[in-house]
Amino acid sequence: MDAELIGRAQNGDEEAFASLAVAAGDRLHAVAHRILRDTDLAEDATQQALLTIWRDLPQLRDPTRFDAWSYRLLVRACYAEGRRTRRWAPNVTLLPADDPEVAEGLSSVVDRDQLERGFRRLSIDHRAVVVLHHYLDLPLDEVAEVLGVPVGTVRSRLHHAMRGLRAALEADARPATREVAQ
Amino acid sequence: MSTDRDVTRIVRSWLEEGRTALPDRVLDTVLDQLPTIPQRRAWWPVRRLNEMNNALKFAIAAAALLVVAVVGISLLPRQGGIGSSGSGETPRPSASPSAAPSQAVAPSSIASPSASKALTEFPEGPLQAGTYVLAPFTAAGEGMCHTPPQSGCTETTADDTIRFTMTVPDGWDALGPWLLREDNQPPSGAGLSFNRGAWLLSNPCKYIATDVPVGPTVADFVDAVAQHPLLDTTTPIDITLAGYSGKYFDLQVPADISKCEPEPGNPSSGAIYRPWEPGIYAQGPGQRWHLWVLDVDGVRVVVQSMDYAGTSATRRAELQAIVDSLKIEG
Repeated sequence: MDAELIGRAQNGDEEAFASLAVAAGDRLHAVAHRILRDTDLAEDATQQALLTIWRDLPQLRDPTRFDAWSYRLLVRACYAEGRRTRRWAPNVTLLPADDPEVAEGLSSVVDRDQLERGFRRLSIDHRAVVVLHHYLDLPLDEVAEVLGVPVGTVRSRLHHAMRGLRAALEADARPATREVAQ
Repeated sequence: MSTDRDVTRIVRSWLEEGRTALPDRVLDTVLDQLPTIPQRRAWWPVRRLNEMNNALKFAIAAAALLVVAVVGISLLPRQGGIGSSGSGETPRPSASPSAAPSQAVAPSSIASPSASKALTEFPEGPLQAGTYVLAPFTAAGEGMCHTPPQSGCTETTADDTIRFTMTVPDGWDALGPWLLREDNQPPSGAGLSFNRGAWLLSNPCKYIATDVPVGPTVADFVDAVAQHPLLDTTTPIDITLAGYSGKYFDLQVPADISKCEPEPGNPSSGAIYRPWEPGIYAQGPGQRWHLWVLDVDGVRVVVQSMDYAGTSATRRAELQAIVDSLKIEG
């Protein structure tokens, strides 16, 4: 991110911040959408994160850390939205699928469904680690910096999350089900 | 998929799918709101706890209280404890010089027991009892100085290495670099945090820019606060905390701050009382700050605990224990 642009935005330059927001908005939204798995919640989280970035930008001393810092604020916003969504999340019931045939690979709708379901079972803590590491390709020490936790905690969360996703995928081997909202 | 590599490949591929572009209407909404949202240059949370959800309230209150408590307790006299000093005798810190911090052993659900890297902030929410290492003065964490820095702000990247090691008892919450208890709210809340000291506001009840210059040393800051005509402080005394020398004093928030100005554009912030910035905001009337201003190898560090007249003896004892456990690694 342009350090000069960040410096101007830190001093209250709204046009500079607008440029920052345009540049960062898509990547923040992409991360939020992958953590929250919901379009509306992701938009709300991204909006809140951008407003927090504006408000707290003067506190960022090292502009080269802008990306990591903005991810931290975004994850916080995702936590807030995640708490909100628990209050209205629809009940789901598993029904036998019409077609028990299970294809191999991600092209399988069943794979996507199982991954989606397995991912939604994870806490925001665990989802954030998976997305930051496997989507953004951040090394574990950078994930730890973003989340403000030790690397060991990140490693533990990642292990737990991937084990859960693997279990979800291996559910393909059992009679397929279809998830419907009630 | 039978191997971990297969699972990783599938998960990565799955994560590549989905939306990325932020709708223009969201961006427009953000930009439209900018003029109504003043940029925050202070470190202590402006937002009042009663505006937040319960988890956040707990976390912020616990964080602020714990930070204030840790620092405050270690410096306060054993008999009086935090908040015992009124306009009379000033408490003297009881902490003695300490050796370098031992390896951090954080609670398993919060941090890996083997982790030696300091946290830049606490995990949000309830904290498990244990020893925590915090390095709050980090570039990607909460900044301590205005940007551009105030004249007299000596913060540099070299200061990022300052680490605070503390033992936190059960029942405390955290948010960012703050430790909190009882929501940090009157009449019985408490909190603890770390700061650097800064320029003062000539009127702590007005939402104005800092206008009282303060130099970089411990004496510069302590003298400026003590001489401020609107700040109610105890007489600063010489102390040593965690092996570092400095000054200790209390700062009393007025019993009525209802006439203080809210944060511009954010009337829900309620009345804001702030003595310096970046610094600390009163979380309620009658709050009392306990401040240890230390010279940590040439870097000014302010350990700040807070409580109220109604804060329980148990809670103050916990604060005392936290501060007694405090070790500072410059």
